Amino acid sequence: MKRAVFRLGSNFRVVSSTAETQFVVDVDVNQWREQEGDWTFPMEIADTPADEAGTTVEVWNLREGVRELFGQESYAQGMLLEVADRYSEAIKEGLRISLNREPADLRVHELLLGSGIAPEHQNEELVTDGQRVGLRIIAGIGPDRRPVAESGWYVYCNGRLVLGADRTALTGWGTGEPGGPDVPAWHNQYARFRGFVFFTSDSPAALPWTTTKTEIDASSDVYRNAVSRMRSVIRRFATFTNELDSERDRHELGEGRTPQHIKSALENAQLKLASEVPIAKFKVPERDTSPIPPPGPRTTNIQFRAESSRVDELKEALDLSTNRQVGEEAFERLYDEEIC
Amino acid sequence: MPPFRPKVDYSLRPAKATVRRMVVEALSRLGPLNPVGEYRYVGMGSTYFRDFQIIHRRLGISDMTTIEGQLQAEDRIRFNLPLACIEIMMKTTSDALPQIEFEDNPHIIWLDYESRVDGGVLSDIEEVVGRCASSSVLLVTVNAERLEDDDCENWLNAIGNGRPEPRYPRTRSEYALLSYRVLREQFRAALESRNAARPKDQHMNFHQILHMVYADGQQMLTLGGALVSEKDRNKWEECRIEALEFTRSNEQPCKIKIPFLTRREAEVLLSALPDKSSELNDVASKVGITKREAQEFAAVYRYAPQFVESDDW
Repeated sequence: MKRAVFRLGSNFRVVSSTAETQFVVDVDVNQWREQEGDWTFPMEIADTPADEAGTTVEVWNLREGVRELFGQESYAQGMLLEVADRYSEAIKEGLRISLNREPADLRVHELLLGSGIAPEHQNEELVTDGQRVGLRIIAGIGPDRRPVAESGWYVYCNGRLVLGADRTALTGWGTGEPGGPDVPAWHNQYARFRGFVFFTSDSPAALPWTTTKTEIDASSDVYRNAVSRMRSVIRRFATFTNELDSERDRHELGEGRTPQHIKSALENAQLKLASEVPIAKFKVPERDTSPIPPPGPRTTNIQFRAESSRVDELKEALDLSTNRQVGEEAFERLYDEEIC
Repeated sequence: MPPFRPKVDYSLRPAKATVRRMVVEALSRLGPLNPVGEYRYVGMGSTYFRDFQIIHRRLGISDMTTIEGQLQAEDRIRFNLPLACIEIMMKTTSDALPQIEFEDNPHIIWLDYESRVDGGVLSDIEEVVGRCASSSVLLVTVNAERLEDDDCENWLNAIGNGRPEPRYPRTRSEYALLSYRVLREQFRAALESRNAARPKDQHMNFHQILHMVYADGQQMLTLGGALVSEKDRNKWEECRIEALEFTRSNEQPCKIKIPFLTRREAEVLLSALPDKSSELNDVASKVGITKREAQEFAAVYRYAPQFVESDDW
């Protein structure tokens, strides 16, 4: 921890309390560095119990680069994702971590799997300037009812998030200039799209990031190879949403008489962490294409009132469980007797 | 959506029929790359399925998929399905192609559009070229007829300001050349991304086989070729497809023109074909057939169909 706070800023204070006692370490790093010989930290111990047990670490007089990073909106987002990634096992066990009051949430990394749905998972080895670069692409359908802002591609270089929830041409969405091939632009219809791209290399210079390591270098051959794959995944995802729409339209057209294979798969598939998804092609069930069955005979409602105790007697006698069943039984018996 | 109505009687298009037979002859030479009957064919059959029938009969391919974007014609398409081995995908190409597993085994894909090259066509090319297995063949047919006024402007806008020369086409051949170059550039670009950051021995190459221009009314362009990985290069060379006289590996198209000849005239010309002793022109001129007609006939006689009136419906 000492090294971590030194790298952040030049003042820090650690306050740690239990129900009985607390200690405080308060250091001005620049002064402390001037000390000769003695490298210990002063520690004040108090017997007065604190209001609340716990540990607080404060760091101020931040270093230049640190201040800049904290000022970037994407930094906090990336850090939260990284925390969720790195502590996913502990979070699954119940540990709660939050950043700026926002909890690290594994659901950002969750994809639907099963019931005929499979996320895309490719694992390739690329080579640039003689250096090996691992490329892993995992993409699919995220959880329902999540913020739209979570949709898009997440691009990591050696574990660091370089692009988060990207929905621009940089990650393959949309046709750039006219004259290029059409790719769907991101649209609310694709709100459940989640894609994760991991570049890894023993030689960081071979990774598709700029020298500051904060931005993607879209011109690198490694990245161009990845983007053409990502575009293909986007097209398949777009087909899925179109098919889902057609299925819904047919369902309405047939007044509910056509099966909804895709919709029920969406409801029945399990959410899995992206890291647990097997190697596969993105897949969803085919929608039903058989002819819409003709409507059955028209039906109507009959309502009548009867004394509750007598209805219960009938239920008991005929082993029925609902009032509706009693009514239906009454109708069938009368029909049998009078009509056929 | 208006009801579907076939626009052309495909069975009466001699140039198209000729191209189809040439395509089949070229495909029949793919053996060294992959046993021809084991390819999977993906086409756009519409209601006639002429390509499916000839490819099944001549090449023995029985793993076939047709992509049908005319959703309102589904009943009619199913009714006209001529073979039991054709799977139907009732989807536009942009929805269907991403779902086809081109990477698993070699495919022959004929994207036989009636429309012009546009972003949708380029996207389809990218999708196939980006993923197909080595030894696959991709053919693309587009309308390349001359356009007037607003239609011309709209099309030029659709293919973008970065389009190659001739940027403002005027003649039929210039329209064909511009369409060819736009298509060819997309093949190149898609391959470039696919090969980026890949070791040389895993690179995929495009070997152009066909560049055909023909018209049974509207001028059409067909560009096609094989996608072969570097390690399969020797097998590709064994195919010797370029030995077929109608193949083209460059920007000079093979122009298919079927001269109008009577049966008797055709028989006279056939007696001098193949023209090994260079007597064809003389034979032709004796019966009043121009040199040009004779040469056109010589280029297509092995492939052009002979239509006969058979009966009333």
